Amino acid sequence: MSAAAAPAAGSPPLRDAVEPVISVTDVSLSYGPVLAAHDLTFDVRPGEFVSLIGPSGCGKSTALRAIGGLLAPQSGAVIVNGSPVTGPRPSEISFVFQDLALYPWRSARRNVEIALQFAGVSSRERRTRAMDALAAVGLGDVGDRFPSQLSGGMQQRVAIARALVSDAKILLLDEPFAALDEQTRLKLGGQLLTLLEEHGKTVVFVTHSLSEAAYLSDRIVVMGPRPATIKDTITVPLARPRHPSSMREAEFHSLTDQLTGLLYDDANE
Amino acid sequence: MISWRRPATYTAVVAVILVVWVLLTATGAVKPILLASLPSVWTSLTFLASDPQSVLLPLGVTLGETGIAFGGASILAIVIGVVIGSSTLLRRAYEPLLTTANALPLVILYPVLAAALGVGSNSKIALGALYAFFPVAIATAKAASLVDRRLIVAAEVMGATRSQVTRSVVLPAIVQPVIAGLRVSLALSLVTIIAAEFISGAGGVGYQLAASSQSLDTPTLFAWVVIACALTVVVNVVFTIATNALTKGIKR
Ligand SMILES: Nc1ncnc2c1ncn2[C@@H]1O[C@H](COP(=O)(O)OP(=O)(O)O)[C@@H](O)[C@H]1O
Ligand SMILES: [Mg+2]
Repeated sequence: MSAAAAPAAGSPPLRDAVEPVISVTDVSLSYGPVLAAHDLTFDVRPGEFVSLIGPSGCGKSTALRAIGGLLAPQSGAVIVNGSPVTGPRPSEISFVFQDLALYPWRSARRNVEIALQFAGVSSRERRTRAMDALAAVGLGDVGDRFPSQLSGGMQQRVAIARALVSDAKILLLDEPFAALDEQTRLKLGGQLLTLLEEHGKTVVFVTHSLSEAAYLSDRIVVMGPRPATIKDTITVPLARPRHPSSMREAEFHSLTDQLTGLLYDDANE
Repeated sequence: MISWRRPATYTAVVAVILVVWVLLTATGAVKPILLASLPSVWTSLTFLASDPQSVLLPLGVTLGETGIAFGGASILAIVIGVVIGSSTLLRRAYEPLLTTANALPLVILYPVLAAALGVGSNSKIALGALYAFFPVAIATAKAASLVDRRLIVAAEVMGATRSQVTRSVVLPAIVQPVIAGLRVSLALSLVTIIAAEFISGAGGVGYQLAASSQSLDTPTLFAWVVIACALTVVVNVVFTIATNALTKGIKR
């Protein structure tokens, strides 16, 4: 039994009955002497899309690194699939970094393939799966181009394809659409949702965009700054599947108002 | 596009040298014993060419020694450079050592090497290898330490083992600086080995230079100078072709 079953007041009872895939309990994180996050507690259930939102520099990436096994908690526990995270788990968790980490000497296709190469997949299968993953993010025709020959948005989609191509069911996305304008960002986000549902992925998504978080998420973890703390965890009242028209619903507006309120509080402190 | 420029530049440089050469000798500005006239050098060259063995054998000796010295030292230097460059601790400890050793006039070790390994090929290979080692080791260590950490972390997150990180991330990331180091090393080891052959030895291009110089056969001496220059050019062209192929093989 996870202690993380206690959180958000509004959680439907049905969801509490399912074991979380990720549970973060009383986690504090630090870089050397600097405390970066304090007492974080939230969980993510199978197939759920949870966003971490907060002002830039508040510790969202840091929290994601802890889930991905790149930063050991100073106290508290990060449990993924039932066992404490002590390092990267390539077969369970894939990561899209804020700075993408594409290999400049590898073509888009071979950047996607590298995930499969490390997983020991044969070179023939690698090729077809990489091409499929690129096609799925709308880059079927630029597989031979190098990252430097792609726009920022295309590079981000290559990084997403690289994360989607692996069999890992948990996807950690760190501001994957940061380089894009609001419209493109929401359009790609919508496409991403479809892909994630097809692949049955569980997602933790970092963003600083209110509308992006509201449009894509099942739940939103609102974080406050320095050290990062959780201000609130909000269940998104919008039905699935989401559609751009979801953004015209009254619930959407009251949700973004609520988020603005929570984040604006921060700014005043 | 640019490919014709390089040969054109080389041709121009050679032409200028030949013209100056002809002017210096034809006007009598320089004594023939110091600088042989172009026709006499040509005669010596054709004489040498009439017995190909007399040219190919020394060339083979020098090339073989350089190949072993440069090849062995480079491989060792890349391995050591990657190990040192990948660890902050090792880098702090050993990088100053490499830089200092590189600044030493290593040729002072030649008498020691000759005493230990004999005046044959082995001592020359050892000296050439010493000269080849440091530029590559320094370039590799420096480049390996500058590899973007995020690219390494991303590989680890995707399940790469240490050796996979080295092969698929570190080595491809450092090719260009390592190739630059290799180019310096190749030139240094070739020069060092020819010089060592010149000082003591019984074979190789350097020995031929020494022999014709001692017998005051200036035309043959200059014929060997021409051969040594041609050897250097050919070695560099082969190196460029090989490294271009390597770079293309990595960037795909
Ligand atoms: N590698 C690091 N070393 C030291 N401090 C860091 C490091 N990474 C982030 N920080 C600090 O931790 C805090 C949170 O950073 P981060 O998690 O990147 O924020 P966010 O992703 O929300 O913008 C910031 O104050 C940042 O300066
Ligand atoms: Mg961040």
